[in-house]
Amino acid sequence: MLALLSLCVPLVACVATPPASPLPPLSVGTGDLGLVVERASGSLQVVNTSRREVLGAIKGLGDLSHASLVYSRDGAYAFVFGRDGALSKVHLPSRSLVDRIQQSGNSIGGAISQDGSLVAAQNYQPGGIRVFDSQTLRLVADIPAEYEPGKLSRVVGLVELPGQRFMYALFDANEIWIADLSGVAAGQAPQLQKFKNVGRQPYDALITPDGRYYIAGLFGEDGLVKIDLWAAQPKAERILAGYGRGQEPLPVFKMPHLRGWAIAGRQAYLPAIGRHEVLVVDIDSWQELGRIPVAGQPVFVMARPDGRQVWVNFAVPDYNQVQVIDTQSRQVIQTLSPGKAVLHMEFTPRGESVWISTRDDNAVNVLDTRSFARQATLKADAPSGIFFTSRAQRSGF
Amino acid sequence: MLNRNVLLLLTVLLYGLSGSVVEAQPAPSSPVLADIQPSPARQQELRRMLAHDCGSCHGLRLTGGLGPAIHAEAVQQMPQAAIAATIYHGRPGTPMPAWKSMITAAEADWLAAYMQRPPAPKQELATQEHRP
Repeated sequence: MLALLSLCVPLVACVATPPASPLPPLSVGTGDLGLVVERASGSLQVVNTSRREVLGAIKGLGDLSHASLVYSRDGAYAFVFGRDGALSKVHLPSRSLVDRIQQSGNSIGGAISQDGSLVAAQNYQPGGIRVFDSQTLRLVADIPAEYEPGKLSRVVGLVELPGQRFMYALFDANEIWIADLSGVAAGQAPQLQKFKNVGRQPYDALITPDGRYYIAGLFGEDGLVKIDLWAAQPKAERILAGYGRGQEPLPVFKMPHLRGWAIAGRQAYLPAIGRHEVLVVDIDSWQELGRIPVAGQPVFVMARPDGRQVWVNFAVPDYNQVQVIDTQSRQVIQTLSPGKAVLHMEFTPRGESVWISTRDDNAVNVLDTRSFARQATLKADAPSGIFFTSRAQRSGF
Repeated sequence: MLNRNVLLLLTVLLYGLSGSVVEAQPAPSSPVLADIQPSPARQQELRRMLAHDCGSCHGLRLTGGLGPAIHAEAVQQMPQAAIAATIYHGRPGTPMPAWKSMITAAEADWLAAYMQRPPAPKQELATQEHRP
């Protein structure tokens, strides 16, 4: 009888507080969420890409100039790599900072392993990569980029490769390394594979979406280097060598970023360094198909997810413009002025919209990629990088 | 000459005013070393350029990145003329470009003097770029 009574009480209590909806509460999905970096104020804005809304800020992330981030597989967590060497873990649904460690003196980005268990940070100071457990942020491996006794190189172009591996370039050493961490869970040390004399001053790199080709841009010479990871004996091979053909290069006020979506179908669209051109290369033959004159030094050259268009933004002083290239005619079909100081662009997962950060307007503009009409303008404080959770499902990041 | 002094006075006043409100960075320690003072509006543009455009390689807080650290402490021992020349002409063989297409030699001088000003407390650096 007593037991029955005590059972009744909670039941009655339940009925007495009717739920707002007849359905049981559902957990929040993360597929249409994203983060916008507010570089000057050390905060992130959580956004919803379906409703084109800012949901709220996550604060206290330190120096976020040049900050980038990667997502956990469920899209609920992001790992943020700060310029000040901090690695922060944030939770999007609750908009909270859940963990933060000081992992180096100066960091520039990172990647997450194929199974989502390892997060790697690429560092300028001290030069090298450090790999952390994505659950606990415990250090799993410290791999200095020591290319000569006591000399550490700044690391750029870090990408994720299948099989718990990371690949990256050593700016100061003209080398590209692969770190294989598939054995660390079993207590084995990381295995390193090194490609030497790849070309002068690799400044950034990309991996094709299938994980086959690693392409690094070279600052110190005209040309890029590619490595075919599916080859029996992968080796570094120069592509587009001498694209400047002896012309005096223009000043580069900002390094181009290769990481992104530069592959459209069987073509790669690459920024020419020191030229106001986008280079087009066939990724079967690796021959140049052409070069497209553009409005300035390209920084991001990004294909819409379907590959039909390529969007380009520029370094100062041409950074108030964005140009759109049609990949069928390989012509600039649209020149847009979305606002002051365009720093980054991100496509929605299926590409109907592009989000563009305009730092000096303190705004993020959402444009329709078919009509180029503005769909929304959201407020953000000096926004730079925009990262949607759809990145969680893409290889390479 | 009178004009320059008036500008300098205006600059100092402006710094003083903004300092009382948001504790903005102090005036360059040796502004007289620069031959010509840019207008206050241009000075604001140059400070902004330092934080954001130089900052894309040297870090928003100038603590270094692809380029070395260039905050006040880091450049204190360098001759001001050498800093100005590096800004204006770039450093061939490195990613440091020549900025002469965007600023004048006099502005490079002013920026070099500004970069060597006594370091500001960290919190200011984080908020110095807020616009009205």
